[in-house]
Amino acid sequence: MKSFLDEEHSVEAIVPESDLPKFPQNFSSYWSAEVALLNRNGELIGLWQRGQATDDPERAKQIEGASAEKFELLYDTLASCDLPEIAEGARLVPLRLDMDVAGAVALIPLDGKSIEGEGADLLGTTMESLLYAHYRSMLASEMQVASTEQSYADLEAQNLELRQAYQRLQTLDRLKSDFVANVNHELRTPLTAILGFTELLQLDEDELNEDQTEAIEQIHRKATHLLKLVSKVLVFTETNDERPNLKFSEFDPRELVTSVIEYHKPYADERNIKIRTAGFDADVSKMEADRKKLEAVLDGLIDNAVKFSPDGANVIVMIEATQSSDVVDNAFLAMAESGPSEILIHVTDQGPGFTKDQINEIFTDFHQLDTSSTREHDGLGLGLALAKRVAEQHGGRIMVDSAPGEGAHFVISLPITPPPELRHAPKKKVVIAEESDFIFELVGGFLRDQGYEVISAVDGADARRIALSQPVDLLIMDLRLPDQEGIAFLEELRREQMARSLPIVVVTGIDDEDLHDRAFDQGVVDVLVKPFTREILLECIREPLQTEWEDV
Amino acid sequence: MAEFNHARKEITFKLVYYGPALSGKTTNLQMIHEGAQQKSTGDLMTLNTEGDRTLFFDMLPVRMKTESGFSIRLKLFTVPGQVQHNSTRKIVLRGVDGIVFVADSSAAVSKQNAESFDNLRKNLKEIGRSLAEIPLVVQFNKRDLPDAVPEDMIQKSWGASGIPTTMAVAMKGEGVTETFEALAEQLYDSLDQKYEFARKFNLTRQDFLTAMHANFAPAGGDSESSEARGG
Repeated sequence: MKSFLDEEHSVEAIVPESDLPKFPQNFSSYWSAEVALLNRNGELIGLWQRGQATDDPERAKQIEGASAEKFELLYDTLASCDLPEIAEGARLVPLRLDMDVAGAVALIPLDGKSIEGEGADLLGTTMESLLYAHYRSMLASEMQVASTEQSYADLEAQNLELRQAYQRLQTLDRLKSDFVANVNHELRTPLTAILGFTELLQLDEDELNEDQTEAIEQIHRKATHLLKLVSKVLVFTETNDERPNLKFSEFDPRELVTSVIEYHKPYADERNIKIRTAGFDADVSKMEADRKKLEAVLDGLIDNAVKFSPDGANVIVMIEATQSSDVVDNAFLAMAESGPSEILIHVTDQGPGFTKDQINEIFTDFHQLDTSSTREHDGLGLGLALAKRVAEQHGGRIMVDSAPGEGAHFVISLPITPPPELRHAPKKKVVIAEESDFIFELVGGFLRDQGYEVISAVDGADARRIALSQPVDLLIMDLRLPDQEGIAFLEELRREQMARSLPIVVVTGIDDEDLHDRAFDQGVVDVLVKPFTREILLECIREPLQTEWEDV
Repeated sequence: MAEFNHARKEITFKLVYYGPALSGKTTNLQMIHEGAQQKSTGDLMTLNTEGDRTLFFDMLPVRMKTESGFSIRLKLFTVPGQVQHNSTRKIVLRGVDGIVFVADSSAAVSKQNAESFDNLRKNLKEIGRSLAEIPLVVQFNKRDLPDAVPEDMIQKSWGASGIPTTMAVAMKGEGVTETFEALAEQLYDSLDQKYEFARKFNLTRQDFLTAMHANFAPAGGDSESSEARGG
């Protein structure tokens, strides 16, 4: 008997893996039969009549019903059985995957032609392949769906964890900074008293014996040192802020550097270390920077240079005013009138120097090259981290050149006049969550005019995401959000640590005092009923933004 | 970059002595320091290691007055020749107005000369400058070495480049002034071209060069500069 499959049509080739089984054209027409494919649960997954795929729910139900009673038999015997309920000569052939029943095919003769022998076996094999392919594709897509869903869920959970961890860290960091600032303050007060009274005692030198004089001198020296450390920590904490609060003033850098050097001279003299200066006669009489912070930086650099240089060594401190490299291309800019644009302060020592690896580490907070308990030098490990931060906050840099055994050459470059964006405090951020584009543009326009940075949130979820992912100064929201009821949104938002004290102004078209009270219960600054004027809006936001202003 | 102060009639230049390690850059500065009129120079700032190598940089400030009443301030720098101190070399090159490249005449170190010159070119490029726009003089130092590359070979290699070369034995003070004056000429021409120096400041080439010449008479220097010193 000639195979009903053409030579070139292998079973694999006619079974598309990803599709539901399609009965091969030449195959069923040959048999003039009705063929039904059932899965392992006895559900009909394909029906063909005379080779045509058929969608006949009635017939399907019929076949399913008749087959259902036989499935147990199929499972027991793994052999085919008759389906007399459907038609004479109809049979149900089990389809196997491995040694299990994976489903069955119902072979129903039409026109009284029975399906038997080799033809039935071949049909069975083909159908097995079809079924197998069907399962495979079903399984694959189920697995895919499951894994995609799983990975979404995982990602979301991870995101949440990360966000929470980030918030926790931010809170902790802020608490830490606050704590350090408080401790600092608490330390300064008694220290000032210690220094003051010590100085008083020193005035009565005549009444003290030599040991006592020496002791008081020691107390004074150590207390001064402690006070400096405390100040340095304070400056460091201040620069730690995401928005550095630089207080710019104009001063003579030469005078600043000289005063720092003067402070270190006695200690350097003790060890016969010469602090030499260069470039102080040059025309660098003016610069604009945060003097206090720069002083702390220079103090750290010169302190290190002296501390790590061997006795009798030289420390060179040099000031240079140059043109930063980005303007030299243009000779006109470099001409007389423009003058130099940056100040370079070099501090060079003859200490032990650094290896390349060490250079990568020394600008890290609290980093000290020698952390052993027997380390030769004291200090907090803040100096260079502070220097880097302050330089960068001023729009400058710190650079170092060094090799082991060859000392170190630190250079801070600072713009003589700070870039305008630094001179002003960073823009306040206002998030507007408002359904109406028109109102958004209007309110946004008012605020931008006032120099605020305006961020648009399309709905509650968006507003929440923005408010929790970055420092925001004010949220202006409509009580009717596209995705959420306003009060519910507020309640939810206030449960977040980061948004607990976020100033919120509510705008609403609903003039309902009850509703407004519920908003006030959530600690909103004000409720503005539309329509409102520009003056009313600005008046209303002025206070929340101003209060924060002073806090910074 | 040269700093001009119209009101005070003052000009400040930054000149850098570049070159491979131990080629004699610091020696050049020391000679200038010793030979210059005492009141016109400040301290020579230097950090040396035991091996006489410069750590990071030397700096010599020099002040002088021209006949027509201009103050010229010079900041003379050397850079460390050692390969590893490239960041300092780059920093020192910032705002440079003129360069003396001090090469070691010894045939044995011609490779180091070439590497250092390449390094100069590269560093200038990185800070947005180029050799073409900066006055440059190449000094072949240590002419008294037995394996010194012959002068005609140097002329052959460098003649076509248009870059002035000078011969020196800096340790004995020979050639230090010539080198400096060769640079001063280049410096004046370049500034005049860029900024219309002569027109704006009414400072002539002669005036400028005479002032330079008068101030630099290195110890053991040639007779010409001793004459100029008197005038």
